[in-house]
Amino acid sequence: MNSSNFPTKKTDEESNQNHIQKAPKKDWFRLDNAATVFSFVTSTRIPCMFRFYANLKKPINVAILQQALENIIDRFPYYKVNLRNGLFWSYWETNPGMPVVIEETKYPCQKMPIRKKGIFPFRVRAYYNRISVEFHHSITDGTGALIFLKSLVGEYLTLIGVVVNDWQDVFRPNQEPHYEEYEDAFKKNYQKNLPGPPRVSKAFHLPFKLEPKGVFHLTIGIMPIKQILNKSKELDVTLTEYLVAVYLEALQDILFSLPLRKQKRLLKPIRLQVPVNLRRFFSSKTMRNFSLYVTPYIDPRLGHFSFDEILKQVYHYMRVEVSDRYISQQIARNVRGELHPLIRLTPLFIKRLFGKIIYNGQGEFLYSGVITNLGKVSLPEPLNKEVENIQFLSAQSPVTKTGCAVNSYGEKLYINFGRIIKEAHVEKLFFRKLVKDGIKVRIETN
Amino acid sequence: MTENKAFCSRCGVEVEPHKATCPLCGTSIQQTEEEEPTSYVKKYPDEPAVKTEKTGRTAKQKRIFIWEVVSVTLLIPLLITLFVDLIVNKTVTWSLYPISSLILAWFLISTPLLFPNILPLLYIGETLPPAIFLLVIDKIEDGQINWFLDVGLPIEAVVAVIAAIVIIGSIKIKNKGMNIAAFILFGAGLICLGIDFIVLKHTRGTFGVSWSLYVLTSTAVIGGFLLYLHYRLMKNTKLQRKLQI
Repeated sequence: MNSSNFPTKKTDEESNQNHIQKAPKKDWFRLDNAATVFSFVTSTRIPCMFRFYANLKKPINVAILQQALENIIDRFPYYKVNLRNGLFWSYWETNPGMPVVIEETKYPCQKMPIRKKGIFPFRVRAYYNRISVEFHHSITDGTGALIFLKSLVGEYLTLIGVVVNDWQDVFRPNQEPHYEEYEDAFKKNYQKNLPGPPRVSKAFHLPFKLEPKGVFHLTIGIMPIKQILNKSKELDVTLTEYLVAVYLEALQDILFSLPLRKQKRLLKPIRLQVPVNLRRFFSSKTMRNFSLYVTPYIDPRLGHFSFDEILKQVYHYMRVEVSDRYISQQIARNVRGELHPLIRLTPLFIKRLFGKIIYNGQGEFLYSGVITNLGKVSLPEPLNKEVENIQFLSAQSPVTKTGCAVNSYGEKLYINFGRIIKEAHVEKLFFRKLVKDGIKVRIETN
Repeated sequence: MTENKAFCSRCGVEVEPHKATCPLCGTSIQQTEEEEPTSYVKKYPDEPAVKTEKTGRTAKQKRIFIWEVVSVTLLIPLLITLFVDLIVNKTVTWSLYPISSLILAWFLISTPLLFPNILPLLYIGETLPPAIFLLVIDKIEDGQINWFLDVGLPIEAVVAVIAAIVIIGSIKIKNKGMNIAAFILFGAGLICLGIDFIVLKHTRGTFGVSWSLYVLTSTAVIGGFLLYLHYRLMKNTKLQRKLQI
């Protein structure tokens, strides 16, 4: 995902010009397609949460951070909402309250009681020198959340005296929201007559016992961006393709290290979910969800794949599948389901019941893991001098059990692995492979 | 404040200096220098262990569990009535009525619990058992079919056809909301009209209707009011968001 696709509002003058297209005040709006699914399946086990966090160079002053949050929140009216239930669908209703900065917890991305009255679909946490924003996936994706964090950090640093001339893609409190920021980009880009994508079989899943609910192990791999970029260039692939191949190989090694009977039982394709920011393909300013995914895989039923074979398969798969045509098929399938008259007419409680069943059967069970590469994250000068790094992590589902989020900031690449099992085998094999490839890796955990 | 660098000898990764073991493989970390570890701020705060919650059932397991409980609950009165009848009359007589009613209830409840997403099966499961029930009730009386073909089956057919029209109409129509409730009311009014007509024809042998006109008038008026609310008043009101389809 790349936030640079967003048009930037560079000056107040430009911002004033946007008044012509400013968003009309909305008391409520419908959930987009992805939001509906996430709102159905959310639970303690599947929190549907993700976090962006900025480590500043100095400790946080919580009172100033609270003030910054209060200043900035009205620039994001589509996040100042509360999920309410209708008879047939849920909807976002303007939340008259004010979000409050809260304390950090040992385990990030905990469940959010999203349907409770007055609950915002995000939370802001402060701990020592770290500002974290945790978003429920039913309100936005990584792009929206990253802009929110950058805007919050920008406002916080402004309040403590940092002067910024060029704000780039950072939103400012005095700007009016653009009406397109509210848009349901899935519906806007829905092509009714497209066939849906072909169905895929269930994937291999790690056969390890889940930790008690709420436990979330975080393993962060930090490495020089230059080293890893050089390695992927040497292999003639992109960074994402290289990391996907390393991840697939780690999962394959785990599968083939299992006892023979267990291995035979679990022998299924190893498939990863790789989110794609659709703003790359379809013009949209939406600050709500607008990402889908591609699913590179290897099929170990055909035998053991060498790393070169995996890399080759991933390279060609990504070249073909990461295209607007194939992504449009996914949009068509998802939105078509939502617009089906029978589904529209079904009361919400029944939809929620079946939403979970469908998600379990059709969604997570098809993937062995998740890897999301957000790309380069940066802040305008001189904010970047005050911020050590910005990182990203995502809650994990009880099916895939592990997953990782990747982004770079400055000279470093950050790979945040989250897992809800005790065993760190995936992380171990993943980072050992990077070390073997000559990359210096530093590991941090919670 | 200088930071000692610590590495895992097996994984080759650098780990945080205060770590005694490698977070990836658990191997003990040997400190390179014999200095005291430098002070550090914990990356995340400590907090009490997360309480272990009970593992919940899946939605399917919940439905099957409800079905099981309902089945057993219905079986209790069924067996009581059956045994009381057997003890008193030495044979099965009057208990056939409550037993067949309980079996009908079991069918009506089981279908949506066991096949919640197969619409044709749901429709058959909710319309066929009442028809069979009426036939059974008719036959219990004297072993003959008396009123079923004249009254029971036509009423069942009217209900099934009108229900199908309301369901299909509700699916097809655009801008769903209170208009669906109106259709259901209209359907209920028409069902009453049909029942009235069939019963009158059977009891008096005449073609006509009586009491159902009151029902039909009421449902038509209330249904019309709902349509008015839906198409005229609901725009830009809070009802719109609550009833969006």
